[in-house]
Amino acid sequence: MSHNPTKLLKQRLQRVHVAAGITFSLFMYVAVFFGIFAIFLPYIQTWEKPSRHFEAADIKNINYSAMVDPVISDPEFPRNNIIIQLPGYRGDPALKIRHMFTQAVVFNPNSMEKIEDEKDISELAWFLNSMHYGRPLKTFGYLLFGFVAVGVMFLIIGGLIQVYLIKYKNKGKNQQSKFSKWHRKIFTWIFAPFIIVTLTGALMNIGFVGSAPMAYISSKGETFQIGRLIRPVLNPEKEKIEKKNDTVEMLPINELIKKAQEINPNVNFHKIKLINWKDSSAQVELEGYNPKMPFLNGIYNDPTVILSGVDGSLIQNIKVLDSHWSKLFVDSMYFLHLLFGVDVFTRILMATLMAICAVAIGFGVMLWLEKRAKRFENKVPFYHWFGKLSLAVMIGVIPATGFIFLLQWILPFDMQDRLIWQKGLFFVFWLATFTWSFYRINSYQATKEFFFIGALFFMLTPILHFYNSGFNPIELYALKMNTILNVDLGLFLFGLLLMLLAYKLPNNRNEAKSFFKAKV
Amino acid sequence: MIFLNCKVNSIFKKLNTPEQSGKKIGLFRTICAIFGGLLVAYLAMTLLVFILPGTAGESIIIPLMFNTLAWAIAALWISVSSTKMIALYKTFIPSTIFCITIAIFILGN
Repeated sequence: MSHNPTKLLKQRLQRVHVAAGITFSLFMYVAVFFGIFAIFLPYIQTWEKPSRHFEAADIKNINYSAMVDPVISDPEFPRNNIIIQLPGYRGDPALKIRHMFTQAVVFNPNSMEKIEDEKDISELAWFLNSMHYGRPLKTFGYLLFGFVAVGVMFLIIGGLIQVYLIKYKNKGKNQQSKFSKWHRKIFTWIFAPFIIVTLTGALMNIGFVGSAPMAYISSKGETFQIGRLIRPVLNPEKEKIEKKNDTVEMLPINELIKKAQEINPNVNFHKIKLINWKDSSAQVELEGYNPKMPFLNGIYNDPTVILSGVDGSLIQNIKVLDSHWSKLFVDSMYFLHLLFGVDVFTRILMATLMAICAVAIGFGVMLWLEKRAKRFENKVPFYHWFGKLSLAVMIGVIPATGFIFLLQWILPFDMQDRLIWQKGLFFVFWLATFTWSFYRINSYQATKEFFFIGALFFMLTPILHFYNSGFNPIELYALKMNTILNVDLGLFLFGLLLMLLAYKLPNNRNEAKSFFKAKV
Repeated sequence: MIFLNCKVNSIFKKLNTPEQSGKKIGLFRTICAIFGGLLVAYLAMTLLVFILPGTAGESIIIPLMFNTLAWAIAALWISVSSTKMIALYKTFIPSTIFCITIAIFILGN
């Protein structure tokens, strides 16, 4: 009986799944939780900055020349490799003119006035994004989250094999079997996008760092740097164009964009690179995203139209499918993770899938805790350090995040060390939820409290934003600042959802049983 | 000599005996899974660079992408071995084979 190899295999599969699951679950939850905010990064980035509160411009009718031409025709401005980010590039409604050696010039494309960029005063969206991949802990954080991603792939594959080998019945009536059922069901439905996102995440955090030996062996000792091997394939350097050293009149940017749009009407152009500007060898590279070919462009592969700056004649038209196959492959893998240039519906879909994954991770942890809690049934209240830790990490993070959103519009923008205060208070609040979870013996009560405070923070944020930014919702709507209004709306709805949870969730263990429709 | 032989034999016996229960994984399998899994996966992916056509830069992209996934799979495969000896075999036999094949690829060209 005990030497039955299939039985032993099943036991081991379950055992490694539990051990790895409990080790990695909280980190993975943190990555997924902040990842959901990172999906909405372009919108939050616009919402958080007073300088981006302006009437949205109609992309088709912007007079780019009026803003760009004066800047680049300034004799002091560098003439080579000028980069112009058009409104809408990575969600930013402003127009930006950048160069390696100068400060970026930012314009409101609607009024055509220069605006003062907040730069590092306001980095809420960026901070939430960096929490997603362990950046606050620097190299240690990258490695940690990278290893967690590997652990999660281990869990997904092991879990799928378990579901295949072990005939689970979904008929159990206690809480434990309910948690088990939902943990399994959710991940068998949506493991596919989850594993692709995890795989690319692992690549970005540890794949590149750990590739030195592989690069060394496969280049036969030439180099340790993976970049030197793959850059010529993914990002080939273009041939340097010889300057003629004269000064000629350039076509206005508007004309060039119009010409590029005629040449490749499928592409939404968002970035323009000017090479040897004002020289008779001038070239203009117009890069964009082709929304008709999702999964194939947007990350490394950017469809590009190259025109002559002098007369606008076509030099090269690089379409999506003209690229090297490896570029297409990399883009298709990265696409679901980075979602560059993707519309709001795809983002909401992806965010919903990931939120469901986060809940499923939660069910996994609750399953583990429930098995322990059952031993103390009707004897003493269940009080386990891992339960308290998960409560603080998984639920406590919600009011803490609500708090950082609220602080964005409470703290004055001219405050000294604003960002440090904002981030610091966020971490302090998160730690406070940690102590609170240990203080409250009844975790159900603490959960409800966290949801309630989180709900208050998320619902108050839009109100404070309306008050402190000087734009009320009607104005935001009338001035077509839809992105900003939608972020407010989204935050408020999220707050409402949390409020609902705060009222509906069970108060104690007995109520929990009937809540999960388990037999009491 | 005989004494040493006995000792080696007893270690082999220990490693070869399947455990009564699969409910404990143990440090031995854990280490084999994590580090052995990394070794097997990394060598396999390095070998894949040589097998895939194209320049080093072109053919390294797929192995680079799937390296971590291969690690996860190898670790899982090793961690569920029925005896400790099999966990060791699973670590060292594929690693040796991959090493030799990579060496042949490098020396052969």
